[in-house]
Amino acid sequence: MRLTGAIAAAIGLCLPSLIILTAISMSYSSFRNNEYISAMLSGVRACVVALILSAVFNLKSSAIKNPFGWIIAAASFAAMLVFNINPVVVILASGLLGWLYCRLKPA
Amino acid sequence: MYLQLFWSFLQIGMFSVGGGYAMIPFLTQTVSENAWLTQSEITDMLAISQMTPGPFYLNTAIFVGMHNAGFPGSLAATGGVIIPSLLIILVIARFFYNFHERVTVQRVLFGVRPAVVGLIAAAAASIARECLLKNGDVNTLTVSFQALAANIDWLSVGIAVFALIIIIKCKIHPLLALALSAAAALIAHFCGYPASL
Repeated sequence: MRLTGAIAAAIGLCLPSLIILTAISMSYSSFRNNEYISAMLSGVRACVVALILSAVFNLKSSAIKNPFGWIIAAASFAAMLVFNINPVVVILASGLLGWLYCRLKPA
Repeated sequence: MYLQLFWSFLQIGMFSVGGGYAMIPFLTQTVSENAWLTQSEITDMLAISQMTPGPFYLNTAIFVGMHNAGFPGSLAATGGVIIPSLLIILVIARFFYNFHERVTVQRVLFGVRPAVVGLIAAAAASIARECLLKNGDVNTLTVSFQALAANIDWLSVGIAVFALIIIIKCKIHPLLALALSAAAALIAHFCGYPASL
């Protein structure tokens, strides 16, 4: 009963997205080549950069509490951008480091 | 193909701890590794997923699935991306009502949270390299300063900086910021500014 409720809620959550995104991605390749649309998309792309950066600023204050946090963040940044390390590995390693750090240095 | 989509999005769903934007690093990496979308298509996908109603991660999964394997593909990607959270939350709801109080989880998250910030910043940097430069394939570490300056798409940089300021300072809705940016680029196009892509 409870499980079916969870599944029903999940399906309800997905359905609108499925319908809308299906329609958009079917027409994406045709509207992308339109002169005006592609001009607008170049503005939208620049805005996406700003949106993601603003998410970084928002998360920063709650996620990074001390120098340890800054080191982990900087190391993850470099691992992904410079060394091309799989983000899954980065998450697992930093989880382990966070656990070790809290074990060894209790507040 | 369907299986690969399902499996990739299962991994994305499993490891993107920390909400919508936390999946971007995983998503861009997986999608470009499998050549499911080009770099500029990835950025378009992120924008479209942000603009349309419904959860961000779900929209990206559907878009990638649909673009590469049609409707069944989008179902496979959707299934993959929601199953981990469905299972994990079901287990948590069942067994750990005081999940957040648990010391081990707190300790692990103490390391994971900053890492997520670093990863998202890295994803932002690689997307910025793609869409704020006229030739995004250029390796920015090896070109000279003059060549880099000539390669910068100043219109996009201006839009990005302005958008960042109004998003953070004025706390405007992301949709409004996207609409304003699109309008600015369209006006520039009418004024004869050459399209970058």
